Amino acid sequence: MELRVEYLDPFYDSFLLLDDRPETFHALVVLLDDTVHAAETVPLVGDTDMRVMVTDPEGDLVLLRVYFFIEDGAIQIMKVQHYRADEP
Amino acid sequence: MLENDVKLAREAAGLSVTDVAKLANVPRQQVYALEQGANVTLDTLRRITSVIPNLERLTLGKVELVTANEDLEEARRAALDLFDVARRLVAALGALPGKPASTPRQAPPNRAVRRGGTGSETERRTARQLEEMVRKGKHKRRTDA
Repeated sequence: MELRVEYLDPFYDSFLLLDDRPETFHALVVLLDDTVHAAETVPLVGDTDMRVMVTDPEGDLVLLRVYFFIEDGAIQIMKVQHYRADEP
Repeated sequence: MLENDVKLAREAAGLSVTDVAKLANVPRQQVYALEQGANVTLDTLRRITSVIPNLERLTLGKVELVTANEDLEEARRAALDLFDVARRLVAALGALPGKPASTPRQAPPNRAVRRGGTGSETERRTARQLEEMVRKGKHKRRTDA
């Protein structure tokens, strides 16, 4: 089933908190592109309905994480943020 | 109360104390201080309240202040426009730089991106906070792709 993509308010708010380097924007586009293609195969986070995709901490891209969930036939993009590979 | 207004609005926006401190360019301790009802300068108050997007009103004793986030709203609109342009460009080109233009993909393996996140507690905590926002309906939709 083809899913629509919706970007929610918190996503735009979090988008503004990203640094403004071109590498970050490139990583974001790669991450979102892969997210919308793989969304249904991404496992849930704990006991929530949220799912997470990250740029690989061992890769070359800026470390970004996107939170989303699937509802009403749409991928709901909820938040994007930088993350640290060594975060608790 | 002022401290409750700030904390509730910050949490509703999905922002951490660190996020707000970074955006407002103030020490994180100042954000904590404000949320705990301690004294902060008017400048610090102005900086912090101006970066919390859904903080529209502050209760200060018997006085209710309506905050003005015009600068932030303008920035949000600009970011929204920029992001839409980028998405349309990607859609028009059919692929990202370095990727095949016409190869349909069905969740292929991609070493640049990992499905499922890092598994950290930070990640799980944020997921729970976001789910709570959704449950409370504080995630109004802005646009469709």
